[in-house]
Amino acid sequence: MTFFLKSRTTKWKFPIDMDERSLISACQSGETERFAELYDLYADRIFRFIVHKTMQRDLAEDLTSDTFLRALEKLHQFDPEKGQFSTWIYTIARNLITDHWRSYREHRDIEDVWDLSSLDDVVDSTHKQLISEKLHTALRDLSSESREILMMRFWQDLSFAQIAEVTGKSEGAVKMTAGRALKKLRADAPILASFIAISILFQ
Amino acid sequence: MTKKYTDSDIQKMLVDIAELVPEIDPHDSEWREFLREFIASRPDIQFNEQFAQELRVRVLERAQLLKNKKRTVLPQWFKLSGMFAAGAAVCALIMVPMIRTSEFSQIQDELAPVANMKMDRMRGGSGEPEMALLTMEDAETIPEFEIDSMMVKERRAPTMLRPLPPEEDGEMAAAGTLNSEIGVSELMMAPDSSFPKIPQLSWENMPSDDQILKVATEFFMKRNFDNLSVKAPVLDKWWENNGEGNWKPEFAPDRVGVVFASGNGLEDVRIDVDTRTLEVVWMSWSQSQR
Repeated sequence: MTFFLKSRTTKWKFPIDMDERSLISACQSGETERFAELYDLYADRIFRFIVHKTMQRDLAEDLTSDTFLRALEKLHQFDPEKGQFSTWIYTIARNLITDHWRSYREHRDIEDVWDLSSLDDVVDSTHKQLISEKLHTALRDLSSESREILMMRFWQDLSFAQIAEVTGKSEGAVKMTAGRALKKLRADAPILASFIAISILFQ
Repeated sequence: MTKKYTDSDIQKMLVDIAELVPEIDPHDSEWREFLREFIASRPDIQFNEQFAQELRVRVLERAQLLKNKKRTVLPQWFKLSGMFAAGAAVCALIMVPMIRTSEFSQIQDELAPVANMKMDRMRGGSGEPEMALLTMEDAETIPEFEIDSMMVKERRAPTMLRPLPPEEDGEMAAAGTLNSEIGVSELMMAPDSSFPKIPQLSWENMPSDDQILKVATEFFMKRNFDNLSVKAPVLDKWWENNGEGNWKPEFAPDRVGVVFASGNGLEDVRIDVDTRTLEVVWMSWSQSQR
């Protein structure tokens, strides 16, 4: 059974840790079928994380599948005292994406094909689409590391501490990268900045 | 579905970053709006419901399979991990004398610690272990085994060792782990500060044979193994019998095995003692004691 906390601002929070810990503990003690409950909690988030990183739906589905099967097999190695399950499974997903890129590097640089247009089923309003196009063009020009950190923080809602754990960097370094990337993004999307400035004036 | 953030949420996100990048002003409405737009620009991709269900079924099937095979997989895993550990140790020993010190700061950021590993404990020899001496339940509750588990968890997995200048509490070694994109030569030229330190015992600080034997024997007796027909315990001093002549590792080993051998010449019970803490950290026994 999973419990969620809901704040006054309709912002969904992470599941209560104790419940998740007891679930993990049950899986580690042999009730492996309860891993399906962990899957229910994280499948959507992991899929989105991968799709944002790869911008390819089919690939994201494959890697989501690999992530959960890998997590299931390695769950006995996970130690709740050392970190959160969420960061652990994000790390698995991230490593699988990296492995995938490496295996294809000889043929093409996947990092360079990060392109929203390859997703044909993104649901956007015209207004949002206009802004998104500008932002995503600027995003594509960032380093993959900067892009990843921005996406994890602002699209995946991971904390800087969690991102630090997933990427193996210090929290300070992650914040620094995010800040610089955000600054560059804003500078590289001047049309968007003007658009925002005007929209603020008319608010 | 994109989450809705309040102005205060957005400002807090910016405050976090502004600590380190002062050009970002959390009180600037344009910055807040920019971040809001960035968050809103997240591609809203839906997880295909049918695929999600199919994957859930696959995960459940695999979970059931794992449950059934759990006992048979453990020993095979141990064999592989043992081979890996031996390979890593050999690599480390080869690398130590080749290391040079110089500045190469640009790769510092690339050096990343390997995630802490929790290793399973060995509960028998090759093949399916039979818990003649210790049941699975006992193994879970014996505190000494927890120590083993924690020791492994707290350590990083070094790919190579290199000596550092001696410090007050004895010699130290720096251990490095690296991304696969970094070459060995770059790693060797990296400054010491790039490596996490792992305390290593100097040979002078190594506990005596008697101290190690005492710890292992007490553990052996406490487990009621003393009714077995074994010879007097012997220290496994592999560094004195490694086929390399007078070669000796730079640091004392962090654990030493004590073997309680049976009359048939096979190693029956082996207890490893951590040389820094004088605690039992590992125990294994062969199938000959079934």
